[in-house]
Amino acid sequence: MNPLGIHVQEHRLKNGLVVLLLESHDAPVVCVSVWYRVGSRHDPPGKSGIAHLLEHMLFKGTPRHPRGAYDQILHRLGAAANASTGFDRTNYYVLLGSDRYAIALDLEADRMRNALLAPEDFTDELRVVVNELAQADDDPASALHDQVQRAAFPNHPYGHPVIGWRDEVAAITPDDLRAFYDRHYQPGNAFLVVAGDFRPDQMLADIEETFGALAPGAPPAEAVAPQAPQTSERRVDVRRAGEHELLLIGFRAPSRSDPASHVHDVLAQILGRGRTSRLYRALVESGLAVQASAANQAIGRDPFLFMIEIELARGADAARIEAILEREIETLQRGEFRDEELARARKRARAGFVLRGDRVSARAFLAGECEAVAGWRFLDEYLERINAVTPEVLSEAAGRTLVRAGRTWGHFQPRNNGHDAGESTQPPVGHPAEQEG
Amino acid sequence: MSECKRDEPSRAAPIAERVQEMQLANGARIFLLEDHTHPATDLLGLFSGGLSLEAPGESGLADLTLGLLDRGTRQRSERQLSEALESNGAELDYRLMREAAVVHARCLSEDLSLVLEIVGETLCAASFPEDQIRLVKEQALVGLHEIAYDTYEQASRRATAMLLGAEHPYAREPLGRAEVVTKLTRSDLVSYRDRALRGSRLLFALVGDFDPQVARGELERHLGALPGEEEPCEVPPDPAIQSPTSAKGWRREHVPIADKGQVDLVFVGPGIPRTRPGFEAYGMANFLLGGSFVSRLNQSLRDEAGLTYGAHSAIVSGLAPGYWFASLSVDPADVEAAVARVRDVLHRFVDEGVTEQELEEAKAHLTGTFPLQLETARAVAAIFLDGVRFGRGRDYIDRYRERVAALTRKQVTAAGRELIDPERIVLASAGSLVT
Repeated sequence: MNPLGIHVQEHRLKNGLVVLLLESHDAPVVCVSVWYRVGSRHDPPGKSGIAHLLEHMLFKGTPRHPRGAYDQILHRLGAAANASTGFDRTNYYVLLGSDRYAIALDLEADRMRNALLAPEDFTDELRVVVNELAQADDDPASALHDQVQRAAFPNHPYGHPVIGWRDEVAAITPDDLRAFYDRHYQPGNAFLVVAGDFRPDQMLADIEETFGALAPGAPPAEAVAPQAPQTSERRVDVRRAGEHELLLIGFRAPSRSDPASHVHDVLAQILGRGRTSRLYRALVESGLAVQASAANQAIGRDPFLFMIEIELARGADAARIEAILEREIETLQRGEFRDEELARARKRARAGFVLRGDRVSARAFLAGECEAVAGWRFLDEYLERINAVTPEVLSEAAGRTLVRAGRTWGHFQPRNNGHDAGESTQPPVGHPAEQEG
Repeated sequence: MSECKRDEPSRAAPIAERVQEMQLANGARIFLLEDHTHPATDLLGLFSGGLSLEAPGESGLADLTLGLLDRGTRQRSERQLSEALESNGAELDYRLMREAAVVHARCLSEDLSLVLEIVGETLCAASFPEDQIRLVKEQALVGLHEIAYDTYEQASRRATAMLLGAEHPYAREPLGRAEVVTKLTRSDLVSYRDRALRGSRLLFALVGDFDPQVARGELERHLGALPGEEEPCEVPPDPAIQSPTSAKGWRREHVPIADKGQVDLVFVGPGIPRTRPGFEAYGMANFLLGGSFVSRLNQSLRDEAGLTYGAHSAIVSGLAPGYWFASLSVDPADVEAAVARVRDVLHRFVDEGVTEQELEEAKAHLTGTFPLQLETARAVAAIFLDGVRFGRGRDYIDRYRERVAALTRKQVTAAGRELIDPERIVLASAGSLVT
């Protein structure tokens, strides 16, 4: 039993599809959620954004459900449906009344192998994605995030945004998309999470009838080489029109499957979550920043970043903030933790599961995310692990992760603020000058 | 002082039968809805008035006051409040709406007593310490600077100001104006709190896992300290709408913002008050036009033309009519093509009316998704309180699907024609236009 209070049943179909069932009867609702073990890490070189573009194209129909049918059918059924692409997984979900879940199973099984991917739809959708990309790029925080990621992962696909770089997205062809789909969208490279109000035996029979009929296929071989460890600090400056400064600092941190990953969740909480956190007290309360937060972004199968985000108060000095941040990190490394900080982290972790887990879709999503990066059993053990965290392991993790050599320091500075426009004072190591400005 | 009007039946019974109501001496109306499915409880309070209670020249006062309620009380410092809440994983937030000030809290059931005590304390006894005023002001000022570079926010503000006048409560920026926020004092905040947070203005809902006998006593103790009625608490009269009702043609303005890859377009027209009998027909008309992924606007602008990541529309109103808007974000080179398409969609929507098929599909969708919306205690509380606030009755949730199912093509077409006048639309854009 996991902290959501839900027992997970795991099954495997003959064609290789893994099925996770989370049965509950508190609301007459079912969430059917298909997860493919493919994401932006699999984008071929020069074609960043292909996994995300394919996700859009999966809504463009199959021979049995032509263009528009998927949306229309689910619309009429009163279903909520959407999809998302991450580093290592692509997720499609349908949330609907429990008396009609069979239709969602049928639609999802159909598009697992039979997507049309018509060239004329491709042209329209490419334009939609380019608009989505431009919208995200207009946001300074999002643009800074992309550049920090790029500098932190120069030789790994986590270095490009999931949505892709604009010129590379524009270079994707319908043939590229078809080849990518054929390679990655198959039962052996996917898992199905169904949560909510159903009878497991009936649900399994319905899944067998739909997904079970699909031909098996071997999961594609993994081709991503790990990113070499970071040995020196990298700095990224982004400058454009805007009104206030932002700092985004990423430290290379362990992946979810690393035994120390959860320790970094507690570190992030103590350092930068809420008004009781150390960064709030040191930076916001002192008037240097208006927001300061930390998060352990263990969101991929490979190591990613422990992130600190700081929104500067007007006129605040970034160098002073850097000195204070380093001082705060040193206290973590020295093992200076208060009992109440650990107690708070434990209670918040427990409360978080209860307060977030009241929705069937949230349970399906949480189980799916865990399965995609570390296996769903990670969820069962999570609270126990958090409860066992000690000041010693926190200090050890801070000493290993929150170090200058492993960090990428991103700084958004508004133009017309006493700085030259469009020049990066310290381009990221191993990269051409940034395209900002 | 509390008056229990109903006993609690089983969860399968209609919500109107499961709700218990009590009224405090200060006029606060409190609704209790037990649901023991999850060991958690949501508290939601709506004080009528909100932003509309700001006097001329006070722009930003309401938001600043709400932002300071949990920054220190007569009993606890800001630090003590934060520690009490965060140490229990509880959430507490305040939000300003055009016609209401909202308090929402969520916690494990085991912490409900403490959270109720803190909610009452922050509403009744906030101390507004000067150091916290400085801090929250700075956050508001940075927020205002951010908004100055946000293409959607700028287009939306300009369009609503063109329609309603810049000082209208539905057009003002909730964060206020920098020059006003800078000058607001502690006594301004106390004055707004005293006029806005009164028991006579409060509708409050407690939904989730609690013992009603215990909760009633605690609610009375913690919310009973709010002052009662002092002045009539109706929403101020709606200022004359400066919509182009007399002149045909579109009014259009642009807000230039440098270095933006997309231009935001916001189209507005007068709205419909939510107290209007048969409001569901207006809601349905908007839903068909721009309220879903398969709506006419999104189908035309995204699916057919690929001009945008998404186009949608909504009615923003309450007791006052507010406004209707449609919005989308496009490449600067596509602005005119997008405007022409929106114009065409609006004309066809009004000229041809809605079809039987799209109406039936929308009814199936809305009645089908309604139970999905009720999955969380917060949503149940919010929809229930809106039902009471807008005079739709305590059985609004129970009867919603039947009201939607009863809508006819004639009703929805007529509502659409009243809501949208395609010849008299106000359009504002913001971003970097192609020159």
